Amino acid sequence: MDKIRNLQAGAREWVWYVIAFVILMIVPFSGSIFWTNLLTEILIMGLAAMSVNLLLGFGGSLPFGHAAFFASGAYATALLIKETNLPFVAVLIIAPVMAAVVGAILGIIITRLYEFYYAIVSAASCMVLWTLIRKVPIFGGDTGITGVEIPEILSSIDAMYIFTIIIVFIVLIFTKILLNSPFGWIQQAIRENPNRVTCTGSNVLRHRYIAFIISSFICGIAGMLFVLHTQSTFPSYAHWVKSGDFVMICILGGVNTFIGPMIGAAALIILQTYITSLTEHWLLFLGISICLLVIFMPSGIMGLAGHLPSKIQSLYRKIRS
Amino acid sequence: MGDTFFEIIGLEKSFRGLKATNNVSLSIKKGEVCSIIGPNGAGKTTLFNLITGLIKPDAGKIYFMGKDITGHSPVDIVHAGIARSFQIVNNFPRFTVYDNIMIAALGYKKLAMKMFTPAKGIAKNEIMELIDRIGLAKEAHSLAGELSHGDQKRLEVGIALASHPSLLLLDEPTAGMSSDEKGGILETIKRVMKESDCTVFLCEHDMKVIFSVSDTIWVLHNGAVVTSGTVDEIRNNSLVKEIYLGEAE
Repeated sequence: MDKIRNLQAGAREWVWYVIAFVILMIVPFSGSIFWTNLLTEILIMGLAAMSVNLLLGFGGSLPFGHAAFFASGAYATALLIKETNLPFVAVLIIAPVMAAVVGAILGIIITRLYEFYYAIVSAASCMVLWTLIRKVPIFGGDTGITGVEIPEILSSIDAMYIFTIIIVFIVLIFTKILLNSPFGWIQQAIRENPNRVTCTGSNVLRHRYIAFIISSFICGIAGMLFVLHTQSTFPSYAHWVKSGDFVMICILGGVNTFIGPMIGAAALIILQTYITSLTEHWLLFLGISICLLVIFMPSGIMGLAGHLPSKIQSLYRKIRS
Repeated sequence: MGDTFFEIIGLEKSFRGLKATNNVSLSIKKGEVCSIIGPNGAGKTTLFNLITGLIKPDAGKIYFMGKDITGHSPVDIVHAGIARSFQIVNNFPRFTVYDNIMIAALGYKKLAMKMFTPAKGIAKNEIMELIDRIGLAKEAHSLAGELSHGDQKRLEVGIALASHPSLLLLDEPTAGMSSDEKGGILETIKRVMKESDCTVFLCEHDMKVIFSVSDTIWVLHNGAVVTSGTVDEIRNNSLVKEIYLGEAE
């Protein structure tokens, strides 16, 4: 019985992903360049936030330095395309691997820490990278790297959008499988109670380290996609404020859900776009609306969405009685 | 040395000058229930933490099945065959009972790094059987954090058993339980011992529990072993009475 119920619940979730995929694929045919562009950005930022949520919501850590891996992926892509003659497919593989390498180096220290220390050291190491990017000439200083040429086939907005959807969905499926695997379960158990995990014979330190590298690899993919989308990269990608954006997107969307970061990215970017067009004091209003969202939806948009059916049911019962 | 199943020799541990474990030596024979008693602060939990590698001793040796395991990591000690339950409920509160046991089973099978098979399918029958053995079959899919205290203590034992230990350390398994619940968990412990061929090292406050299950009892006071013996010897030992009742007589 249980097995059947689990299967059904699992299948229903996959059906939602297929529906989302199909709807997203249709967007370019509506002819709206504005929405196609906006959705590309949402998908990329959502992917970066999801890599953060792998450690935040599913690992119980507070990674405040993922801009470092976003920027590593971005700069690696830009430099590989501009400075080498590598085939494009090789760039697609090497760029995220570079981000993972940076993650493997920084993770040695960061993953030994917990809570505030974890957050502060990850933010600090991100700022070290930011300084390096601005000072080392090959990274182009404060002006960054612009005019990154991408293959003909991706040069249209629609093509880039479709390419982004495909890559993002591949990574989403990979992440989903990962979270259901023993690795993913131990990762979540570490969030609940790291000491108990140690006492049942799993190496917590090694586990957190590997998870950190996987997460930085995925964040590197997001950085890479962003460069292909905008064809330029700037030092601000490595600034800790960018890391803060990722964390905020996760909290806004709901850290305890798989798809939360995607929803959070959509909410934040759409909010940003609309408020900017209304007033020049947009940051003020953006801040206030985010405060309100967090106060009234402490478990994020997806958290509220999860409770909604039961709330409607209880309201319905009240009305009937 | 090394011939006995489990042996501690001259174990010492101080916290800021306070000797929590003071030259403790003891040994356990295979297949027995060995208990350790002593008033609060006698150093029972510290001793368990030393054995399971959670803290490192200042001096002394711990031998298990002929191997020196002094100072080994907690993970290595679990794989060597020593598992423990905790005095304070220590599970994964937002996981179901099944998932709690599953985490321990994955640890035992060294599958923590397996990334592309669903965890839920692994050792399913084995896990359900263990849940049945600790008497939580009806609660298998309830959240651990929502179980009654008694059931959480049962789960505590279950998580330890999922590591297939040769030596099972139980840190006050009946703490905070009603007397009905105590009877239940004692039955569970006895049954488990018979079925899974493991030796039990028990730390407990309740004398009734101790006297009903133990083969050997060690008495700990201010971090040091005061005396040891069978149930009858300890029951009639004047020193033990003194430690527990004060020296007012």
